[in-house]
Amino acid sequence: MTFEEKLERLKEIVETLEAPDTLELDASLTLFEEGVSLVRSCRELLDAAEVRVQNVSQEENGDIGAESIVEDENGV
Amino acid sequence: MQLELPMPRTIFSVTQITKTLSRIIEQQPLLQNVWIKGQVSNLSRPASGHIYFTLKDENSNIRSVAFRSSASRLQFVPRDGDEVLVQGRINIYAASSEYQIIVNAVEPLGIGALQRAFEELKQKLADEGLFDAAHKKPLPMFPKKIGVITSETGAALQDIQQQLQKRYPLAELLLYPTLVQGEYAAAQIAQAVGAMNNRTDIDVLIVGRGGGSLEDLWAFNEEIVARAIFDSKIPVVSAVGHETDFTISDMVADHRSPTPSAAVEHIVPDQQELLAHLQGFRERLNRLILRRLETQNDELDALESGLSPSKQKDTIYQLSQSIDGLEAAYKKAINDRLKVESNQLQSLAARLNGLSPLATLKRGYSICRTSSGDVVTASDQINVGERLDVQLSEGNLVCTVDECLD
Repeated sequence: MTFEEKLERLKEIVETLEAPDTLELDASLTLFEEGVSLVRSCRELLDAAEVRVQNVSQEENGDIGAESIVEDENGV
Repeated sequence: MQLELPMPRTIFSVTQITKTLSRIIEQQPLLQNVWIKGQVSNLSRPASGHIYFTLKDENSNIRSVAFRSSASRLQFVPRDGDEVLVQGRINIYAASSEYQIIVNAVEPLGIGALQRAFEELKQKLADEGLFDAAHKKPLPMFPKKIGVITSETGAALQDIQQQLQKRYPLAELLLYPTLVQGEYAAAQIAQAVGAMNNRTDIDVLIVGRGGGSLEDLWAFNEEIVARAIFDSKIPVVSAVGHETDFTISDMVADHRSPTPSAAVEHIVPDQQELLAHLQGFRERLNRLILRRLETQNDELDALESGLSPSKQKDTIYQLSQSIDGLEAAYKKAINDRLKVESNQLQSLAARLNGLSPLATLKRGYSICRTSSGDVVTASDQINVGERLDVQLSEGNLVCTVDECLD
């Protein structure tokens, strides 16, 4: 799931939970847990993200990949 | 004494020498595609449609002609006094044995000429509708891959990368490096926009460079770039570092940002806002699940109180009370029934009593029977001399019939 898809799903979950008394308690709890874990994973995605920069010419040559650029910047 | 032999003489006609020179010039590739910088003077545009002018600098001048077909295609039509760059081929005008440049393209150079070229192109593209709001494409909310068309070494790329890391590091950048100034810049930028459009993974394009003078930014005022941006299927954000002046690229792009980092700011969401948004979701989730649990608890409480011992005792009392009530009612009903029935019995007994022959006998009547025991109710049932048995209320009589009367 992409970040955007996760946000979308999260919104859907909150809206479902907000609808009055349509869900069994079990289903509510399952949705709640899914929502909480989506919030967590979205935060983690943002925290961990490093901008990847690719260069069209490098991409075509295939010898220097984007990953190596990111690694260089991190000093890995 | 040495005899001096006369040199053999090659004699040319004027036309021949002109043709020879022409051939020599035409065989020089350098002269067949040449760029010349100079100032325009003596420009004339007769009815033929050709354009004639003189290109000059401090020391020299060269006759220039743009024939009708080229003249009609010129993206910039010079005027006297304009500083221009002229591209074409050198040849010799035989009639006056002058060399001249056959003009293929003219580019403006000085500020004045650039300004006018800008205004002319702007007017032309505006008339064609290239700037119309109807053509502006919406930008994606969460771009995954951002195409960047700028110099590999310029500040623009650095600014874009830093700003993206700060705001939305989930997006990737794909750089298509181009020159951003000089004579090849426009063609490269236009080509890069086209190449990016051949891919399917680019959500939005940033086309731009850092700040510079009007001449530095000129590539972004060229028609070829404007048309490439207009033709782009991918939304284009122009980011030519110039706060005040708009370039043609700015006007044709789907969005114009004053700088490359402003472009990033416009394109991607801010992760601080996203985190706040996520926190909002988290709190809503908590609130919702708490409310749900409370509702459930209330329901349970209601059910549980229905099952408590005191409630049970109550129920039993109530039940036994009602059973008592029922019993009493039942008994009363039975008694009532009995009473009714015994009354009926008495009255029946009285009636029965009234019908008994014994009571009739008591009132003085008697029953006659033949000797065989048959009750005699008529005189012809018996003959004279026969015996009758007469039952009285108390005791019996045996009598003999003396006479039978009808």
